[in-house]
Amino acid sequence: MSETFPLTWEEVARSHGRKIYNYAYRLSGNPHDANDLVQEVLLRVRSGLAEYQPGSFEGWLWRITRNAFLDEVRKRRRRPTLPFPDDSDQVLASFSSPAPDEVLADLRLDDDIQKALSDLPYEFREAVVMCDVIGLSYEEISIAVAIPVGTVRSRIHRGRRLLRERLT
Amino acid sequence: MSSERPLALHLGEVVSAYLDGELPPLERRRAESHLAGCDLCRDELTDMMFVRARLRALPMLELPPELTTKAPVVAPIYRRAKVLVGAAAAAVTMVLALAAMASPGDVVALSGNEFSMTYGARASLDQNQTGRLVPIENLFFGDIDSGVNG
Repeated sequence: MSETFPLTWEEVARSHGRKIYNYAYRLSGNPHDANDLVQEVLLRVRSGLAEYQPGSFEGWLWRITRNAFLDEVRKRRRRPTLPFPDDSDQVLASFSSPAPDEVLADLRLDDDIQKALSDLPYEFREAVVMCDVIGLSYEEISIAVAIPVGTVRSRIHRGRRLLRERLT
Repeated sequence: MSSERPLALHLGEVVSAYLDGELPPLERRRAESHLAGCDLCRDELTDMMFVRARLRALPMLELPPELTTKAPVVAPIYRRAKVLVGAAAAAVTMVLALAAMASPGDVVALSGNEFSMTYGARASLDQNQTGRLVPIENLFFGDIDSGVNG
């Protein structure tokens, strides 16, 4: 991607909008949150492209996406109306609260794998989704999350190991 | 874990890096050499392949109906109030950008509620009249000022 610059933000929307939606959906398990995130990320990309320094575009874009997602998580923690999980306890707690039917319906869409993902600690879930759902390289994840590549490797493996134990 | 032997004797997380093609050539050859003689690490590799395959099999979901509509809409921007220009421009540009993400023939619009939730300004596109031009005045409603300020 980095060779094709300059990109417009419309091109970014076209090439990555769906991936951003899927990223948010797989992390949150909630399509409404994913909707909000796509819009928020594209606005941030729009304002951030002018300052983009050529390098790893994927790393840059997913760093924006990740930060926007975490901002949404923080917002919803302050007014918790939707299950935006960050660890298994919260996930289970939110499901046992008066959650709307649509939340449970959403979970059924991808049944066991989505549920297993939602139960993962956030840092493992994030690494696994970036790698196996979005298809980022370890280097790109390292830039997006601002952690060493070795930590990326460890998180992906531990995340997959935990998923394996939850999937029959 | 699956073994009581020290992890250093086995590949551990190197298995995932090997599977993902993230090892440099020398390390990769070492991993392959180890895998050839270690049932436990081959089992681990099999487990990681299983999980990765399950994750990769998850469907890439289409953008949802809240973000898309079949009705082709063109929304020119007219200046109405200074405070609205930024939000309106962002809204229309967003719509056009999202339209580009839809499959050919589809044009995408954001619902008014979605936008008002996120940006505090209520935007809407005429979804009933195919191809109709919709002036930006018609995209906003009477409570826009309170919405923007709220």
